[in-house]
Amino acid sequence: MEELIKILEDVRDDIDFETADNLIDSKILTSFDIIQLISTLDDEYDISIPASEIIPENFNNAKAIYALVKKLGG
Amino acid sequence: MKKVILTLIAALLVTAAAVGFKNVYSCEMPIRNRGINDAIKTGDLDVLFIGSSTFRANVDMPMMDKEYDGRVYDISYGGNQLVATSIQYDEIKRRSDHRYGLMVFELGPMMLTQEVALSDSRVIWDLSFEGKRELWESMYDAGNTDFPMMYEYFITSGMDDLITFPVTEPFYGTRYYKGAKTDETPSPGQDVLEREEFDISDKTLVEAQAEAVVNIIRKCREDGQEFLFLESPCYYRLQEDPTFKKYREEYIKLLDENSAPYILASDVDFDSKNAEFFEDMNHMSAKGRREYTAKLIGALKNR
Amino acid sequence: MSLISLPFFIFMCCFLAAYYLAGEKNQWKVLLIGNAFFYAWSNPVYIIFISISIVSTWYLMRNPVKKNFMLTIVINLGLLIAFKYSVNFGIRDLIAPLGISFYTFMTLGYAHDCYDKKIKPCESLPEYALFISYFPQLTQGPIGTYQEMHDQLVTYHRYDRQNIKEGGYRILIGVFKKLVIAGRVGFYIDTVYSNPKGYGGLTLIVATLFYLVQMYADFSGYMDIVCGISKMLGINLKENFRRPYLSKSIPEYWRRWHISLNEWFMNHLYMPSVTSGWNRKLSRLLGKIFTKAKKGTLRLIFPTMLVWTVTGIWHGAKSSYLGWGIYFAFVMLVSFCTQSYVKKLNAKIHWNPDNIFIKIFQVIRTLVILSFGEMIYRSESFSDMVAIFKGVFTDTRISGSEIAAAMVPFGNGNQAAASILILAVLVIAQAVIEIAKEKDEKAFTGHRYIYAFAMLTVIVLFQVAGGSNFMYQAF
Repeated sequence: MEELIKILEDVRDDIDFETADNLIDSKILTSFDIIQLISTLDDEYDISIPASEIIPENFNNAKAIYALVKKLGG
Repeated sequence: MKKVILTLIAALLVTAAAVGFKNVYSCEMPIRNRGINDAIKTGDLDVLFIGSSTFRANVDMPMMDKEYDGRVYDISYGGNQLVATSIQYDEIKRRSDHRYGLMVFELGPMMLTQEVALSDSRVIWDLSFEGKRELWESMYDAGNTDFPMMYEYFITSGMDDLITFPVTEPFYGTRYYKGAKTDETPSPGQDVLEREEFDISDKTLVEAQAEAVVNIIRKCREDGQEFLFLESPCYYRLQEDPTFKKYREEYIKLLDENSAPYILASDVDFDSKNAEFFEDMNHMSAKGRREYTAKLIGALKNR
Repeated sequence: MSLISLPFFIFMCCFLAAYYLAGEKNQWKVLLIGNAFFYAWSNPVYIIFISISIVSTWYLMRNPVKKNFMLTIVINLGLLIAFKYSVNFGIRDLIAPLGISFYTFMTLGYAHDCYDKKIKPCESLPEYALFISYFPQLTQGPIGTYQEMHDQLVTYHRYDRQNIKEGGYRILIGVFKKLVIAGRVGFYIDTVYSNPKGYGGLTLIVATLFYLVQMYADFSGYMDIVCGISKMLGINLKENFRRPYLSKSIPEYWRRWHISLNEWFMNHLYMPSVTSGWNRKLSRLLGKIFTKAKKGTLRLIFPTMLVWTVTGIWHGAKSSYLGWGIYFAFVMLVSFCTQSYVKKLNAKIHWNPDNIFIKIFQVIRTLVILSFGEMIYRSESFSDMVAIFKGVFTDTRISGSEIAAAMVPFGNGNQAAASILILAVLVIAQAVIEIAKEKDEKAFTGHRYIYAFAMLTVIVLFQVAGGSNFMYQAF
């Protein structure tokens, strides 16, 4: 989880990912951030996030992202 | 809804007032160093030039000033429109009680090929409302008008100048003297002038412009106004262009038919091949302007 | 019909009456008829092509399987490419159907979302047709999504005077931007860019900056008109611009400029290509060469090149549009390849992003990068483009004569001072308003009647619709 937080902060160092929520719904993360994030997650964890999983529920906070990564085998 | 209608009415009233004011009083605005109003204010004149930017660039007014004790002026933004020149003549005669020893009109061969139009909105600015209407009618009669053009002519042209007048007038006033440019314009060099492209091969005679020439001559005669037509030298490349030569012949023929006096470029000992004298095909550099004016003064005295 | 024209004004008056007099059940049908009428007026024969797109897409995507999705893409993209890039295939003078770039993208967006099961396919053909043909957004966008538009379009909208007034005010703002600001700089830009070799570096820079002004005033003004018209119908369109010239970086710019287009590309091209299989393979290959590359960066390389190149050619068949696209592809690539280095550097020099001077620097830097892109975009040929860059980099001087020369393209010789003053006032006013709104969206929303009065007066007295009829000619 700590590793994930570090990866997230690498993309946006102005967000406190430990506490932040509604990253997608409140448009805190831009679509470009999301693309960068997905790209990085794919590389770091050697997973492949399919289009159907790119939904707000999976990216609204660090916990959700972590769960998604684990689900895909990372 | 009431507020909306009030807003619309207020806007309508203000714009109508602004347009009305501009159309009636633009000719009276205190403009320095150029324009019909300033020319009239200068009083009786020995020589009054009425022409296009060619006259603005190629006649050195300080030199003329000295020669004629200040009794000179240059009205120089009729653009390339003989029709406009004719109307400017009417304006001066209508608004001025002064005497004009000699009026010098421009013998510009390509002016005969210009569509009746307005090539410089300063012409409208200078005219009284009657003059504005007269010029519009000649454009309308020539069939070159449409609604957007009329809108621009009567409503938007000159608005920028009207609004910014107190700020821009002092600035503009320094760039002119008695209607002509005072810039120390350099020549771009022989290479540039030799390579400058121009293609006038598709030009045709525009009747209205030729008629304007005849009108000017007739009106001068009726008013007992001494006049002549002056051909300002252009860079030799333009001078030798076959189309240019053709319309030059037309113009001269027209003047001969009406027994009008003229001074040709060739009547003045001016070197049209010297690139240092020119800024482009028609307009002279400061050096050329002074060189030419010295010779011109001689030609005028000996006419 | 042009949106700023007498025929359209008459159309709107009649249409609004019919729209609000129609009952609850019929209002959206009146709108559909209005859409058809609007389209037929401009392009009677071409109504065939938009109809083909509408019917085929609706029919195919009712069953959103891969085969149907592929077929939908082929039909719509095929038509778009055939019409828009016919010149490149040697066919001249083929007029493209009205709005084809925009409705095709709306169509493909809908199809993709159906295929990805993000939305349920529309069950009613007339309702789907309503969405694609909605006339305010047909000519220049914004590119609406089915999710945003459908419900609004079919819901009944009761007549509300507020909508008419707000819509009217928004239209007024748009007309002001287009006719007073954008029209004013047009002549200068056209004059300089049609003969860049004849002008010095300073003039070229001024013309390019004016082009930034013109593009924004023209496009966002048009969007204001379109949103205003739609508002009058009670339908809210998404904003396409959000003070783009206050962007502090190029990636931010793409979130503020032509927002609907860039969001479309993000959702339907960028995201899918980043997550696609071929991209995975390609970036693996790259990873073998650039072993030190930061995680995630290599994945972005091909998608970025792809998306921005396509964005470029979406604008049209000219090579300058392609060049523009490629330029920004590189800018974007450099931007995130150097992200981590820049972060480390910023930490070292105690870069404070909240410092006002830093912010100003970032805005100016963005504008500079934009300007180079627009020089590519606007230049009329490759050699012109070279001449412009050469002029800007080697021939820029600040001197009295250069400044005088820069005034010449205003069109009345040296009499440009008045135009410059008015333009400066307008641009500064626009900038002040935008900066204020950046801090608080509600800035300048009071006193609307006074602003309306001012705008009306200025539009009537100072508009420059399509370049002056009386531009000074140097003869």
